[in-house]
Parts: sequence; C-alpha cells; structure tokens
Amino acid sequence: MSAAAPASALGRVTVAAVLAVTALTLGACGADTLQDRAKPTITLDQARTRIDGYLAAIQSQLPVQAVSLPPAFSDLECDANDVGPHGRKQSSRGYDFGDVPSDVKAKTVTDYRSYLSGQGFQAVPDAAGSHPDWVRMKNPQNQFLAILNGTSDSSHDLTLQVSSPCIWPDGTPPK
Amino acid sequence: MDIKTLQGADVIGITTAKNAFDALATAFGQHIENWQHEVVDRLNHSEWTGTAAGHANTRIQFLQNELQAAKQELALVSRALQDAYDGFAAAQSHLVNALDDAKTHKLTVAADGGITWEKDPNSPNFAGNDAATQAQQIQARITAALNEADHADQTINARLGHLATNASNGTGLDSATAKADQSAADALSQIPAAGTDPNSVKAWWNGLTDDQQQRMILNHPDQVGNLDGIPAVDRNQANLINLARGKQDIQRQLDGLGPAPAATLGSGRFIRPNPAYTEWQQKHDDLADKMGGINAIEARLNTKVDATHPPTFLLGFDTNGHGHAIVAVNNPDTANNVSTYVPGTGARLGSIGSDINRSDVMVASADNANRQAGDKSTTSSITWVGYDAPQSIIPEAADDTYAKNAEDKLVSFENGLHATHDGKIGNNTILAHSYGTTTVGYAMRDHGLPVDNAVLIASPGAGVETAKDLRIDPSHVYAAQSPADAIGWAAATDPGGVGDNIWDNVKTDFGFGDGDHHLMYGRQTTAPQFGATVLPTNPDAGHSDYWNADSPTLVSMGKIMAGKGS
Repeated sequence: MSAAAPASALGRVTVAAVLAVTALTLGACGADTLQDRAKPTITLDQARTRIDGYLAAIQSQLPVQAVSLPPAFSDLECDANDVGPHGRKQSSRGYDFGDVPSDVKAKTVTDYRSYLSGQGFQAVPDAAGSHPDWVRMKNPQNQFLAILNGTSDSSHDLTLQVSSPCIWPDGTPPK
Repeated sequence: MDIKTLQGADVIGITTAKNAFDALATAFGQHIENWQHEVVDRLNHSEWTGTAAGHANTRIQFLQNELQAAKQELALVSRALQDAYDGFAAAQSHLVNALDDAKTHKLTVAADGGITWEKDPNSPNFAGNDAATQAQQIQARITAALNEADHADQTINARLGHLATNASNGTGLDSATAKADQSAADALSQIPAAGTDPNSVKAWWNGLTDDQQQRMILNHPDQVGNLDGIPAVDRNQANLINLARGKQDIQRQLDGLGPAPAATLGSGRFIRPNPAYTEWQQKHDDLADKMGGINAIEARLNTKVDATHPPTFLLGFDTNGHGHAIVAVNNPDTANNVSTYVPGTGARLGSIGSDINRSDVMVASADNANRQAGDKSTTSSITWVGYDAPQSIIPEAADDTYAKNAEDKLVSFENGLHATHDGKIGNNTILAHSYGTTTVGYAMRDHGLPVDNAVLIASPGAGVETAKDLRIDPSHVYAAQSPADAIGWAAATDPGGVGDNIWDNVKTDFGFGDGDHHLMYGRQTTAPQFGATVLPTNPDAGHSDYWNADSPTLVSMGKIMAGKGS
C-alpha cells in the first residue's frame, strides 16, 4: 500500500470521518475518566507536603542516606494531548542514594517493600516482557506512587522518587 | 592571551596604525587618480593610433585594473584594522570591568587568573560571605574576556594574513581576487538568509569577532535567534530579546482589545449572539494563549538550576500564527548526547510549558540511565515546536500538509545541531509524539535525518511501511503504543491500507492474524511487520501518559537518549 495520506478532497473527508470516530472514541472511552478528572482534588501544596512526608518516612526506614539535597519538585501536566479538561498536574521529587553496595541495596529493597506494604501501599506489576530496574509501590487510597529505581546488582545508582496523582493545583477544576 | 597582555594592550595603537595606513592608502588612491589624469587621459587624447598604440592601450588597461584591485585590497586592510580595534577594545573593556569589580568586592586577581580573598570576618579586608560566588562570577567574566580577545586575534589574523599573502605574491592585483575578498568582507556584515546551510552559517559566525557577534545579536535578534548554525548560547541571547519584545507586543495587543463587548444582542425571544463579542473573544483567547506560553518559557528559564532542572536555552521564538518556540534543556552544543522532541497535534507556543516539562523528565530519565551505568555523560533534550502543527484532530490532523511543510525546517535544525556541537554528538535522537511522529517520519523518509535513533510514541503512522524506510539503522527505530491509547482508532483510509486491515481482520477471524495493521499515515509502528523495537507501556496508558512518573516508556526513552539501548 502507499503510506502517503490521501490528497483528494474525498480522501480528506474520509480521513476526517475516521478521526471523528477516533475523537469520539477518546471521549466515550474516557467518559468515566472525564468525570473523575473533573472532581476536586487536594491542592498542589498539599500534594507536595504529602510527597515530602512520604519521602522522609521512607528514608527513615532505609539503611542508606541521600548523597545530595533533594531537587525542587518536578511538575508534569496531565492529559496535555487529551480531550481535557486541562490543567491537572502530577508532582514528583526524590532522593539519590548514589552507588550502593549490593548487600545494602538488597536490604534497602526489602525494607522499602516492607515499610510501604505496612502503610497500605501495593506493588505495581510491570508489563509483560519489560524488565525495568525498579520497584513501584502505589497507595490505592490516594494514588501516591513510590519508585525505588536502580535496584539491580549492575546499577551504579539507587534513587527514590515519590509522585502525586494528577491533581488540580488549587484543588478545584476550572468552571 | 593572558590578563597582563590584554590589560596592557595598546589598542589605541591599532587605531593609530589604521590612521597611518589610511593615509598611505589615500595617497595611493591619489597616485592612481594622478596617473589616470596625467598618463591615461592624455594618451587617450593624443590621437596616437596603430598597432603599437593598441598594445600600449591594452597594457595600460591591464595596469589600470591591477591598480584598482590593489586599492580595493588596501581598503579591506583598513576595514580589518578597524574590526581589530573594535574587537580588542571590547575585550579589554570587559576585562577591565571585571577586574574593577573584583577590587570593589575585595578580591585579589593573580596574573594567572586565580582569585583569592580575605576570609576573616574581623579583617578590614574581609570579602564578605558571598565572596566565593562573586569570585566564581568574576573569574567567568575574565575567562570570557580573554577568550573574546583570542577569538578577535584569530579572526583578524586570518583576514590580515590572507590580504598580506595576496599583496606579497601579487594575487591582490587580480580584480577577481579583489572582488571575491570584497564580497567576503561584505558578507560578514550580512546575516545569511533563513534556510542557508547551517555549516555555512557557522563558518560565517566564526568569522565575526565576539564584538561583531554581539552587535548582530543586539541589532538583529529576530534573524540570529532562529538561524540554524548559530551556537545555542548566542541563539538563546538573541531569543531572550525576542521573548521580551514578543511579550510586550502581545500585552500591547491585549490592552488594545479593550473591554469585552456584550455577549448577546437584543432581548427576550430576540436575543442573539453578538458577532463583535465572538470576534473579540477569539482574539483575546489567542493572545492569552500565547501569553501563557511566554510566561511558561520565562518561568522555566528562571527556574533555579538543580539536578532535575538543568539550565535551559531558548533556541527559537516567534509569535507568528499560533506561535513557535524551541527550548533546550541543557546546552545541546556541549551535552554529550542530544535528543529533539517533536510534539504533535495541538503543539504551539501556548502549549510549550507541558512539552518543556516532558523534556525535563526525559533528561532526568537519561541522567538516571547514565548514572545507573556509571557513566557521567550529559544529555540535552530540545522541545521543537518550530513548525505549524495541526491544532485540531478534526479536520487539521487529517491533513498531512503540516508534516510536509515541516520537513525542511526539521532537516535544517538537525543539521544545525551537528554544525554547532563541540566535536561529534555522541548519540543523537529524534523523539516524537502523535502527529509529531508523522512529521518526523516524512522528513526521514524524504530527506533522511542525521540521527542515531528514532523514537515514535503513539504514532498514527510515520509515512512509511517499515522502519528501514526511515533511512537509519532499523534496529535503532523504537515505537510505543499503549493498547488503551485511542490513536489506534485512527485507522487507514487509503485503499491499500483499508485492504490490508480487512485482510488482517479476516486472518484474525480464522485464527492466524499476525497483528499487521495500518493507521492514518502508514503501517502501525508497533506492528511486528514494521520492524521497530517495541517499547514497554503501561497497559492503561492514555495518549498523554507516556511521560508519567510510573511510565516504563519514559525509562526506555531515557536509556535510548543516553545510548544505553532500550
């Protein structure tokens, strides 16, 4: 087949029709999601406070220390290329523990899992066939996510990151 | 060059030399005029004819051409001396200002540039608690001034050396040579047109002294800021001016709109929309959208640098149409590895903030991959909204004209990255999302891109049937598409694609389907037959979710950008 897009007026109409289906599908599939998105959330400040709280609590349970001060929060816009509503953000921050000996790393992973499981977090399974070097734990109550990354023996760097779910910066969706 | 040499340099002496040279050149010009009047004109009026007269006239004309060529060459020497004065005077001034500031802050600058200061708070010479920061900044200024002088020295030396060689071996008497030298000198003051080969642009830029470069930036920021082949630091400086001017202009237009007209006309059952309000609102929303993008760029440029917020460079900016911006996280000229991120439908100045966020998290992911491998390499990710992207799924994303129109711009930009990079780029990646993958695919298919890797995220088709059609090693073509991403519904509409999809559906119904599928702009990039390496995704990831914190796709992007596989 030719990979080029149809150039004729009829072709474009057909393409538009298919894309209309795509757009409608996006909207229809996301009907529940759209409702969820439009609900009030905690604010960005509250999310950041909670992230720092989780980070400090997890860090206190681990046998490793951060090698530098945590950087500023990183914010990512959610649903940027989606049908909206737009403006929600996911905030993240983390620690870098540097190059950790294997035995300490293994204990860190065990302590991390153990502590967060006790706090109600659940392990997030990885996609079939993928072998990321991380352990993801999510709190099903509030959707906050912790990631311990660089957990394999071959890794020269171990990091911990905590992320918020997508939230409205001031807690309420736009009218 | 060292501090003592530049500080003590007699730059006025260059002007003195130039003036003396100009006096000689003027006298030479006068001799040519005299020779014209006294010899050539008299011979022409002598009515001397015949074979001997013909030979003499030919020889005289030849001599005349040589004298004119020599005069032109001498004028170019004078121009080079003036540029030398401007360049060295600017460098010296920058050095002296830095040394004066060092004194003001009670810092002692050694001959080798080392800076020391009194640390005892009880000493009258105590340099203050911020002395280390001040010393660092002043040392950087001293180094920059010395480099500026070195650069002026190199460029002027090359120009004078060329003219001196011409003078000594006689080529300067050739009118063609003089014309070429004149053109080269004139070209220095003319900015190459948009679309000029970036390597030529870089050569032109290098031929200017720092002082001349600064004048180009200050006098023509709109041209310099968007020209591929200009180094990132200089483009950034020009575009900061463009950004400030653009902001002023948008604010002026917003102010000029005045208050909103009434939304409706009439009353009761005769109420109807007010066309004036609709027009006002469209203009207002467009301007507000652009202002939002400008504010997002400013916010990111002014963000304090830390591990997850590297320095940013504004490589392109304008408010034309929906507005454009090119923003690099980390300097692409000095980073070991470079990646260009091309967003798709909806990409414009107003949406740049979320796309810069994505570059931030991709650089963080690449840094993570490097650190895990014990590699200290750095990575720059450039958000490239240097093209007019479709702004709606319907009808604009149904039109591949946007992709076609972007091809030359993207090719030029990628060539420019190589032209300005310090040495060879370790690992160069092009990474695109949605319609951006079509844009990238078309450019790769039709022109080829000088990249090591292509990463196609949530693609409606890249304009090709297989990875190898993208004209790079197909094992370095990567694709990701979550099963929950609605882009998979953008099915093919061309007869060939429709036929292939029907055939695949039939095969699937009979239990031997092989997953082949065609989308709007070609074969699905994650289909096995396409031949790309398929990246992991979260199974419930929507069209925007590939950069989320828990995305395995983001991990893979970072590894690819860092040259660590996928």
